[in-house]
Amino acid sequence: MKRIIILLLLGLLPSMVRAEDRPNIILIMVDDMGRDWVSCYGAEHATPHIDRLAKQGVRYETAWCMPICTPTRVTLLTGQYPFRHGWTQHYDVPRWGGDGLRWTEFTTFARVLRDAGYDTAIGGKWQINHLGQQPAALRQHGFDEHCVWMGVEAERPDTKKRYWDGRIMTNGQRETVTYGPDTINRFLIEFIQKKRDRPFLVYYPMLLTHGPHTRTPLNQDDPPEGKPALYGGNVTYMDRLVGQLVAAVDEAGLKENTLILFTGDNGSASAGVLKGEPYVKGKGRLADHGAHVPFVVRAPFLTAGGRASRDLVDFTDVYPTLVELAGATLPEGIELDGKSLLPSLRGSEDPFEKRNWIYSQLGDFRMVRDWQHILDSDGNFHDLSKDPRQENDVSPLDKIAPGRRQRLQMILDRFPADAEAPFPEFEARHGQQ
Amino acid sequence: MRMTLLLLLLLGGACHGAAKGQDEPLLRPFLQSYCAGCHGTKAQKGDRRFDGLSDDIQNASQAEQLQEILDQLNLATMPPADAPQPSEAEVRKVVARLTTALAEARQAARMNPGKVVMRRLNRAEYRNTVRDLFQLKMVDFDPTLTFPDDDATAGFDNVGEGLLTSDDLLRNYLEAARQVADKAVRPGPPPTRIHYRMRAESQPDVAGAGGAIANTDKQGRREAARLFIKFRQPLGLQPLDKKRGVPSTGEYVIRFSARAIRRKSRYQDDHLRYNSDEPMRLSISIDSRELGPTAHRIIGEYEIPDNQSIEIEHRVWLERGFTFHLHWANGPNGSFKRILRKVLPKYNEDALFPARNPPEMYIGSGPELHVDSLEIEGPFYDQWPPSGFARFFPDPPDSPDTDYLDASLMRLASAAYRRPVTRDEVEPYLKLARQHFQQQDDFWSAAKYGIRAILTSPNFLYLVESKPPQPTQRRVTDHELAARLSYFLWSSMPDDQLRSLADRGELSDPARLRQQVERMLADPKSAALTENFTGQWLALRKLGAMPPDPETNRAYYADNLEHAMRQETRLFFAHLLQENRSILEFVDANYTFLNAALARHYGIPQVDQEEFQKVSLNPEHHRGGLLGHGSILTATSNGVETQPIIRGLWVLENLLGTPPNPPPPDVDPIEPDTRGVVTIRELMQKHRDNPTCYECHRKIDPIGLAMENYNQVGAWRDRYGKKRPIDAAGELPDGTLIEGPRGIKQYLLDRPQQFTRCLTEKLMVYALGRRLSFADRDDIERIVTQVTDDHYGFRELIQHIVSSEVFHTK
Repeated sequence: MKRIIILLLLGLLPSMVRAEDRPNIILIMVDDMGRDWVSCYGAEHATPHIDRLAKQGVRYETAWCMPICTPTRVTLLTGQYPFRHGWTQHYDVPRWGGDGLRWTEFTTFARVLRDAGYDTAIGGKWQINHLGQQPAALRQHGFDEHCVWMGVEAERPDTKKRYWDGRIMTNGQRETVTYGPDTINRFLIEFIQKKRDRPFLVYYPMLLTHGPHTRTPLNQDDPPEGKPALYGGNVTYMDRLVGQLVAAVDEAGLKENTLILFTGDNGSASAGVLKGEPYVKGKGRLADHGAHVPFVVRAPFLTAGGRASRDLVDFTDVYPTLVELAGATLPEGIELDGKSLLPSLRGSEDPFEKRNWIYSQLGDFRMVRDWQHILDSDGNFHDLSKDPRQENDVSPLDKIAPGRRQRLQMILDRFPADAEAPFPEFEARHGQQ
Repeated sequence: MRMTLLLLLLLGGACHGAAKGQDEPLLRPFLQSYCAGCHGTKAQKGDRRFDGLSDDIQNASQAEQLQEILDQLNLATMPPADAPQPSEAEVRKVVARLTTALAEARQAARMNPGKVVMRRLNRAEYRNTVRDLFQLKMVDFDPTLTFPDDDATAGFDNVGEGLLTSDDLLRNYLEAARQVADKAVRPGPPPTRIHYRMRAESQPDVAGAGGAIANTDKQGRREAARLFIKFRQPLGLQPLDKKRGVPSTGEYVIRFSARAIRRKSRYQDDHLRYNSDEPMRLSISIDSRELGPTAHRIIGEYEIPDNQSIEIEHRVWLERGFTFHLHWANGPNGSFKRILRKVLPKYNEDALFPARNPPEMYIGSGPELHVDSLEIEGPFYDQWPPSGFARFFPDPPDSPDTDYLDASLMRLASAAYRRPVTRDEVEPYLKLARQHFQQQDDFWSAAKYGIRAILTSPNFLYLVESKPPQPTQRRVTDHELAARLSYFLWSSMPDDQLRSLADRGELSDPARLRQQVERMLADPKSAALTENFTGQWLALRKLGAMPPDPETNRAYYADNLEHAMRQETRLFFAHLLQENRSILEFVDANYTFLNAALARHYGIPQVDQEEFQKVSLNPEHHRGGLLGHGSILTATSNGVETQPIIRGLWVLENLLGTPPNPPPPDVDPIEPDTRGVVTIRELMQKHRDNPTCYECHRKIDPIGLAMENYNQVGAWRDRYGKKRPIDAAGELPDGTLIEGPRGIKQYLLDRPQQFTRCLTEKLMVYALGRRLSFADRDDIERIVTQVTDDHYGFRELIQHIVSSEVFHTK
């Protein structure tokens, strides 16, 4: 008798984890902004809303994406390093053509989560498929709804505008809006409000703070002069949009059960001031600066927050984290390069549950780092704790460094050669270089 | 300062032969017939020669010899069995004659004045006296540290005769007096209290810029040590380490909370060199940079529960300049570097052998001892100004004058000399201090100067007993009695109660005296008697002089058995003393005091606590009584093997009180022919071959061999190695057959008076601080009789000694 009850209970278990209990997920990825503009990382520029998010969550000191946007996005979506998915370089599909990201070949986390019962939406920009020619691309990649700027489409010059008089497509409908970022933010807030009783995924690759650097609705009457000042204005506005979105989550009563991740897709397009010192423009740089981005996670159901973490994290770790959170099963045959962040978020001390190196790649340039040292495929080796700008050789007197270097070299040597370029146009463009 | 060394005047003056009145010469013919063969013109066995003796007891040395002859006759050990024997009647007559003659001689000797005892405080006594005079905590303060060792005479280092003074010692006295004066004079308000605290911050502040995150091994270790103890890195408080220890002497409170994390982890114990089955233990050590490694010691050890924070408060007396550290007492052994290089690669494929892998790859996965908070607060004082200062310098005025200085130093001199003092005798010291005051214009410096002068006075350094005013008035004064009593039971000066009784002249009242002895024995200070008396009577101080081989006696060191053994004997002695048990329990008892380690060593089951406890013994445990104490058995061995001769001598000397004479000085130790010898017994048979050796060894060897069942560290054995069984049987000179330790015990128990006399004599020497003379014989015999009537109570024995005539006369 007892055994039957146990069996019954066991049978009930999966269904007892009701879809509604699963956490909501919001991934915010700012465009072209590193840590040197976020005040909770020690930047001079104030970002109060991101700071508040960090205070309520975990702020990762050391998080790496790829040094440029395209490989970062594909890595984030596929959970694979560029050498595995082949998107090793910057490439604008709407502008330069090609198949874009093939849904027949890659399974994004969005698709896994949607298949697991999540309602999904994307707001911002995609740029790795030509949405004009492949209108079903976003749906195929796992997004039920979208509100995006399509990217500059080669044959349609009007698509160039994204901010003021921005060309935005909402669920297939193209329209011109006053200020693109506002429209997208509003769309996502409405989506969240609409889906308050459903587990949902919001993927928010923001338009800001990419160029062109223009006025924002906040400073349009008295715009500052010069690119850095305009860029700073964009950061301020971006921070405000994040604040509005988070407020909407909290007002909807979803704070407890929603994971919000804030990060960036590569280093800053305009150098900020970090820890009192002028920083280096990071975007596209083949160095720690290029890939080192803010990474803040608020997940009250996992952690009370209020802490900074030295745990290493890179963009392949997001995919397995989301899959684990959603309780989803991975389709067969998918190889993931990262590790779930849940132990780290829960505050586990066990280094065996966490990363002990992170990796970044642009073209055939590869780099790997641990908590202290960085080694790249050109043989540059630096002690980041003493030399964050990677200007000096490690002292020959340093007894620790050679062993660290050997270990990082061992990691680099383990990686396979780059996969084939995703489509001929991609190869043609980068093969010339 | 030239000091008279020793004024022990032997019984001088004319000793009018008390035995002269006897009509027939009895002794001379007797000696001539039965003794002179060996102790005469031809031979002087045992360095004794009796042919010059007469019935006239002319002088002390002759009296001593006659006493010796009497003892031998009474014990029936002489003449030896193989020599012509006197008839029983002859013996009785001679014994009777000698007994009366000696008694009369003692009576006469007593009446002789002039025996002034002046003995110097030995090192322990000096230390204790200074402690009690100024009520100092002597925890890490020992002004006698550099004093030369005191020589023992008649087996004890408080016998005045052997306490010499040297230039070196005098210099030490001056320096010690300076240190003590500096320590004792504490004018002004109490020292400022310190309170250093540290709390572990698990993560850097989120709003901060990341801040100080450890990035290197070294930094990581340092950083980590502020939060938790990794391996054997000590954890301390930075302000204390930087400021070179606590700013002033006093009692401090150390508080901390700690947790044991991941006692069992993924790592194998042998990889980490660690035992995960034991609960984690945290120890507190104190050390002083100034005093160096000698000052370092562990003051406390605590078990830390798994995953649960425990709050611990530890109070400790710290001298200025001392600092403390926490240690993981049983953490992984070996360096952190070794783990990163050699251990980690066995568990993590991302770690490279033998590179210095990042510490972050290990921290958080192995066993850790976390200290969540750590603080020290103090100093705290029971009262301020300290009582040891205020008793001599009460309510110091704002600008103290010479009158106050004089009065204070007079108070001190009276206490330090252990008797009332006159202004005249202290005046030279007062004058010194006054001059210093006038020259330096610094009252407290002058006060210290005066204290130093008084502490180097012979009246302080020596136990001076005044010369009797008349030959018939040889009783000690009450103050002298108080000093004798307190140096006997406490190895220190009289306390206030004894002093005020002496001041009122009430101490010599027998009832009062008895009451005081009871009080003093109940006082913790009586531990000095246990420590100093057992250390020397039982030769416990020799324990550790020849330590066993570490390779073959691992447990001896791992379990600190030496300390445990010593502790067993001390506890046993103290128990007999406190409970007034029969002193025959020293010979045999059905209990002893053991901790888990010592019980394991003895093979006694079911004792599992670290603390000592009273344990009942069965015969099959082969213990009970001093002969079963590991301390004595180890102290009488040379660390590698047993030494039956030493053990035999030990029993003869310390339990039977009949030490054989040392080998004649002109005889070289004979190298015996040891071919074909297998056991020590066979080796010792060689003593038989030489009559000169056999004379004494027939007494020594059987006893020593009977103890062969105990090995060189006191563990029981039935065989040598795996083969040869031990033969513990033997025959004593009087024909008694003994078998094993039990046989010796039985032999002793059959002669309770002999052991009682032996112990009484030893205690007497210790109590009087001088050798015994034949004149003391009557008192000893009286005490032995009294103690026998009192069922051999140990406390009664002490009482009888204290109330004996000899304790009250000089």
